[in-house]
Amino acid sequence: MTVSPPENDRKRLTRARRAFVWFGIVLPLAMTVAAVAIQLWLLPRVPDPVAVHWAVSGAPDGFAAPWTVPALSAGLGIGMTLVLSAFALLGSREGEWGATIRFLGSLAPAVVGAVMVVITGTYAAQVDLPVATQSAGIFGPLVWSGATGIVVGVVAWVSQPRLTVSGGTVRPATPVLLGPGERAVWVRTASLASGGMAVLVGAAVLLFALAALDIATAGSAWPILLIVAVVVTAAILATMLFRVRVDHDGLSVTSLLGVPRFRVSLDQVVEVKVVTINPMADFGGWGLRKALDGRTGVVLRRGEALEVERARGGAFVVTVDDASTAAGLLLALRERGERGEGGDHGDAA
Amino acid sequence: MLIRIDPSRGAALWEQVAASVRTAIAAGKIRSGERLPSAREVAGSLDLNLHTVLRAYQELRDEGLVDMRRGRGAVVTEAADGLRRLRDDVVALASRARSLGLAPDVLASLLADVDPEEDPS
Repeated sequence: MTVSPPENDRKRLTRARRAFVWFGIVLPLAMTVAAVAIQLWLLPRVPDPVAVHWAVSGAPDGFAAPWTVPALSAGLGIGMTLVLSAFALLGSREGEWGATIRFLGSLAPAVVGAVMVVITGTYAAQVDLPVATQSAGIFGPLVWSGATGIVVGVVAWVSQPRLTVSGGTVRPATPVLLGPGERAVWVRTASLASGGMAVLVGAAVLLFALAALDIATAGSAWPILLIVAVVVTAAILATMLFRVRVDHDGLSVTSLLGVPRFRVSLDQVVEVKVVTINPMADFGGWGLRKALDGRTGVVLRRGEALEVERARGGAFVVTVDDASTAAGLLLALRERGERGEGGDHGDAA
Repeated sequence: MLIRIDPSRGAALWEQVAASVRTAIAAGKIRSGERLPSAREVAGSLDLNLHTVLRAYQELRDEGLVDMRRGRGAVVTEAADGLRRLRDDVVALASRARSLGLAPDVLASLLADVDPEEDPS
């Protein structure tokens, strides 16, 4: 049941996509081709080996054969462009669009441009030198590189249209049929997609490993690393698993740790929908999110989600399986509340 | 998983809770290895006595559909997969019985009386 976006939106989406392709893909690839061409042209005139890495002091401390530099440039330029655009376009499989994608379309040319300037600049600075150890510092090329990145990034951002197209699929909920005295509860666990879980656990493990390494090497940064690692782990535990419940108290979404917890009481429920969420396009990522369109979300995976329009605080979204049953029960309970039927409370067992 | 009870229906409340869980398992809304909501949570949401919900969970345990483990609560067993596979047949059978004008109770008693040795052909 895909509701296709209005004609106007579709035109704007086409325009946004075209701008993304030009700035996010064609531009960085063109800059890569230009940088590689310049480097190949200079190749016969640079010393062998050529300096490829500089110490903090500014003196070169890493050397390689001259041909490796254009090869590295080509690899980096193409690789970064592909990765960033893949992220963006995976976020738009069902015609969604958002600020995150626009940002990726600006980040790609900015980063690739900056990298190409610093590599080509240091390469060109070594032309006609007898040995690479005489190479000038990296400071000048770094400044140019940073400036290029900022200018290209800003130009790419303002050149792309501002557009938000969310949720390919929207289904209004149909109430579950409840008898006058019937009571019902719907419960479900919503968990982070396994891919996201792997990334987060990997990040936490990496932080602990860094702290351990720092302790082992008698470093001084480990207290900070350890604090960051603990905070990140707590954040992961607090956001990877939620219990979602619909009952006479309304909707409650509670983390595994008990905190954070979101509640929407029945009298706060204005509208209930089942939507399809694309984390990147709709919320700019996973976790507890505030979207640019004002929606609050517990966004743990792509796909089916329950969206509740609240009387105060805008819409609340939680990605959860079987959201249509949850939506149906929430509607039925709210309608009964409006009619003033309580159902008889108390246990008759 | 949706659990619903209606005091105006004939069946005991604990039976209705167990039936809801069974339906959810058969419909694949909750699968083997998943945990049932805690009895305390269900009791609170449905304004039931905790023991009513525990009685339902014990019934499901006796049927082999859930495992009760200390500290882990009630976990759905492998037997759930069999129940899920049977669901389409059960729905078809129930609708056939309805079209023949048979009450659900009649069908249930027929099923209960089926001789396990009887040849299905």
